[in-house]
This record gives sequence, structure tokens and C-alpha cells, in this order.
Amino acid sequence: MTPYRFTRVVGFASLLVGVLVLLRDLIEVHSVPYGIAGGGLLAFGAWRLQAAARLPH
Amino acid sequence: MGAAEDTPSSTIGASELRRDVSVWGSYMWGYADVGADIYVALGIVALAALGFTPLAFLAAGLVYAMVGLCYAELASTYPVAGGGQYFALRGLGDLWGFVAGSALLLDYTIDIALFTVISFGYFNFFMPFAQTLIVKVGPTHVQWFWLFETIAGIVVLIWMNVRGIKVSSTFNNFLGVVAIAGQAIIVIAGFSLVWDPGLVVQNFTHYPANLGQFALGSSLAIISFVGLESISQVAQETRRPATIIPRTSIGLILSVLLFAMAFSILAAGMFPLGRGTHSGFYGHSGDPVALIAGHIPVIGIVAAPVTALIGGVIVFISANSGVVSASRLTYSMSLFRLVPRWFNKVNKRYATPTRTIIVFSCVAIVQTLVAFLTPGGSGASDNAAIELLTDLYAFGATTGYLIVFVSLITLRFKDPYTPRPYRMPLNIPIKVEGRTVDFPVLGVLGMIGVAITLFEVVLTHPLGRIAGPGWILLCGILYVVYRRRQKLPAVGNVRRNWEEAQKRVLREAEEFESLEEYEGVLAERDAAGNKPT
Repeated sequence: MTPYRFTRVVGFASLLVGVLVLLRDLIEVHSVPYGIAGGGLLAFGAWRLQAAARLPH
Repeated sequence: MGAAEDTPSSTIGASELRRDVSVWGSYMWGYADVGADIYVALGIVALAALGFTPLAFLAAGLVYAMVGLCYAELASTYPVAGGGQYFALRGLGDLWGFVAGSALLLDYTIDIALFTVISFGYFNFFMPFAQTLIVKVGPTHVQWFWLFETIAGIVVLIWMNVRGIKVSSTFNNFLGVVAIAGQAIIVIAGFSLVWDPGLVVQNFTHYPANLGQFALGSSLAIISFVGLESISQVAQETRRPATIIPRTSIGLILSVLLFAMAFSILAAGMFPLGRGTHSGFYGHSGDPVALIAGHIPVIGIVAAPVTALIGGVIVFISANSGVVSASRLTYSMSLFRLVPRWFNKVNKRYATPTRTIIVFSCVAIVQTLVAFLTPGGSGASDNAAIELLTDLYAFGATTGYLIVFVSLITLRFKDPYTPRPYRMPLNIPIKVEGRTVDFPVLGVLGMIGVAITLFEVVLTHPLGRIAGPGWILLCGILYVVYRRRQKLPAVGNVRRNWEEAQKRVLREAEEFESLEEYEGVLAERDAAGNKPT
């Protein structure tokens, strides 16, 4: 797996998990730290996708 | 030179083992050993440390990180098979080298016994009736079917190792990747689909551990990090050990710590962690990770059996590494005449050290029998057999690590000339007899941390505090008898030419820069008239 692909997989996976966490927080958990973790995962995912865009592919 | 000819420097570091282990191979070798530990430790620690389980893992993890950095320094400086026993021998002399070796041998034999027990705990996920097959022997309820499975498993390990059937490195690497991916999926799915932060707080406030329970839990949690030793055991086969060993050690420390913390926090947010039957892990000290996987919605129905299967195999391979490590350690100890050379005899037909394999695997069988026939226990676990084995595992590891830390500090003063490609962080330069020595502050903190953990083991493990020191004492008596028969000093040291040995080790490892630096420093010392007599 190339660094480009690996970074994109990590980015998309983080976005997916971030959305799941935020949805669950909204519906079931109602916890501020849990929500912050979801937001953090979205930010991390976006950062990795940006980093992937700068890698040769 | 006295008895200097006893261990010629030409034999130290001399090996038929090829330097063929890469960064990934070295990491996977360590992961096959340490990565399996969380499959063993999670349930036992949760039953002992109750709502404070994540804190118990954190406390043990901090100590483990320092142990890891200590091993990274010593294994990259002295890339020779033998690990902690060799470091203690260099730093503290023959007797302490033997004590460290016997503590680590205890660990390896327990590794064989405990990990085979837990391995079949995971396989029994597919045969739930297995744990209900019990026979009453005196005051003990013996789970005879599980005991039979374990002994059969150890016999298979003996057969594999005597015949020289190795778990291929490709299979080992494949399984390691599957285990890491599997653990990552469980952690991510667990946190995003089922983990409840409110339950973590509830466990923390409703089921707090008292000081004794926390001491027991954190001393048991150290077993989830035991196995770093295997990187130094394989150091003699590692390519460019000075570069590779620190990298793989630090990578291993971070990844294992991450998974241990993730699983313990996940467990605290999934199950009540009360005492005894109020714990979600009650009755599951043999398959805790499969329990977690089974409670994850959507994927649980598939994840639980897959996790049980992967867990069973990876834990069984870890048990196999106990057999291999015991052979390597005994080889190193016999080279330095700490144990009889009888152990080193290689079987002509299979070209394997049959005697070592059979003797130490039989010790593991005896330990298993004793553990299964042990009644009661402290009640911290739901299984007295597992409790006795984990007690001894924790005792052996902490005793060995404590001696290794003392060796690290001593070697900074006794052997300041050997180039250290990696040093533990936080050093204070001090002047000793006209030369500068880096005093390892983190090494001292690590030593204190391990000493506290050992104190906790002795204080809180009613079985381990007797059986552990008993093992060391028994080995010590055999050592004294052997050394006297060989007309070697029982308490003193056999003189060895360590400098020539170190040059040879560096030359064989193709660490030519380090060799040049070492020879340069020794020449400077000799020119200054400080050559030791």
C-alpha cells in the first residue's frame, strides 16, 4: 500500500468513526467529552486527507 | 588472569545464528510476545482493580515504558542473546546474573504454563461446556477438562520444538498484522458503538478499589507488558541492532501501551466492574477480549468467535516463545557456567536443544498441575489456577526488571567506554575519577517504580510471595552446589575479558562505527595510563 493510499484510508476511516461518535452522542450518550472526541476525529480525518493530497500519487 | 580461560571472549557473542531479523521482524517478534499479554491480563486485572482498572493499567504502563527504554539502551549496547541475565552478569557479576537468569527462567516456564491455559480459555469459547467439567479433589474444584487441554497443549509445544518445527516468520508476521487489525477494529467499533462514558464514571465512583485492591490490580497489570525481553533475546540475530532495537522497542512500547489503555477504558465503559459476581468479567478471566468483542453491536456476532480464534492462536504462539526463550537463556547461562553445560547438548537427529526444551516444559507442566490443584486463592480472580500463575509471572518479571535497572545504573559507571547508540532520556553528567559519567535519572525512577511493583506483588499475592522467592532460593542452592563442584567461586566472579568480547560482538553485528569509537576510547584511556590491571 502506498503512503498516499494509507493516509487516505486513515483519513476516511477517521471521518466515518467521527460521524458515528457524534451521531451516537446526539441520540444516546449526551456527553460533552464524547462529543469533543467525535469532533476531534473529524478534524483528524480532514487533516489526514489534506496531507494525502500533498503526497505523490 | 585466574580462571579467565573459563569463558574465552571468542565464545561470547559467537553464534551460528544469522543476523537476519529486520525492523519489522524485530517488532513482530516482540509483538507476538507482548501483544498477546492483554488477552491474558484484562479480565484478571478488572477483577482485582474494580472501577480503577484503567488507572491500574496506567500505573503499570508507566513502569513498563521505563523498563522498555532501559532494555532499548542495554540491548542496543550489548546485542547478545541472554537479555537481562547478560546485562546483570556484566553489571553486577555472576551471582546476580544467575539470580536475574533464574527469575527470567521462572517467567518463561510460567509463560509456557499460563499462556497455554489462557489459550485454551479462548478456544473453549467454542466449547462452553469445557469449564463446567469439574471434579472435586479434596478442597479443590479441579476443571479437569481445561487442565487436560493445557497439558496436551504443552506436550504439542514440546513436540514442535524438539522436532525443530518453527512457527515461520511469515506466519508470525501475518498473525501479528491480523491481531493488530483485529484489536484496532474492536477498539474503534467499541468506542464508537457501545462505549458509555457515564458507565466509566459510575464504575469509578461506585466500585472504587481500596489501596490493597489497587496494589494487587496494578501489580497484575504489569503482566500485560511482559515480553520486551524477547527483543533483547533476538538481538543477536538482528541486523544493525544499534539502529533497529531502539526503534522497535519504542514502537512496541507505544503500541502496546495504547492498546492496553484503550482496552481497559473500553472495558470500564462497557461492563460494571464490581467485586466478584458484580463484575462483567466474572467467569471470563480466560477470554476477556472475546467477551468485549461479543458485546459490540452489529459486528459482535462475527467479532467474538474471530477474536476468540485469533486470541487462542496468538496466545499459544506466545506460549511457544516461552519455550524458545528458555532455551536461549539457558544456552547463555551455560556459556558463562551459571548452569551445567549438560543443558546445551544438541540432539543429533533434530539439531535442537532437546534437554532444555523437555526439562523446562516439564517444569511448566508441574506448575500447571500445582496451579489447578491450588484451592481458593485470594478471591481477586474467579480462578485460583490463573491467579497462582499470574502471581508467579508478576514476581519473576519484576524481580528480573529490578536487577536489570540496577545493572543499567552500574554499567554507566563500570563500563562508560562501550558506545551507547541509545540512552535513556534524562541524564545528569557527573564527574567520577576524572571522567564524565551520565547518571540516568529516568533509570533511577524506573528502578523505584519496579521496586514498588515488586513490593506490591510480595504484599498482595499470598501465593506468589512464597512460591516466587522459593523458586529463586531453590535455584540458588543448585547454583552453589554446581559452582562448588566445578571449583568455581560460588559468590565471586569468574574473570572474563569483556573488552575483547564487546569488540567481537560489535564486529559480528557489523556495527563498525561503534567499533571504531570503542577502540578509540579504549586507546585514549590506555594512553592516559588508566588501563585496568
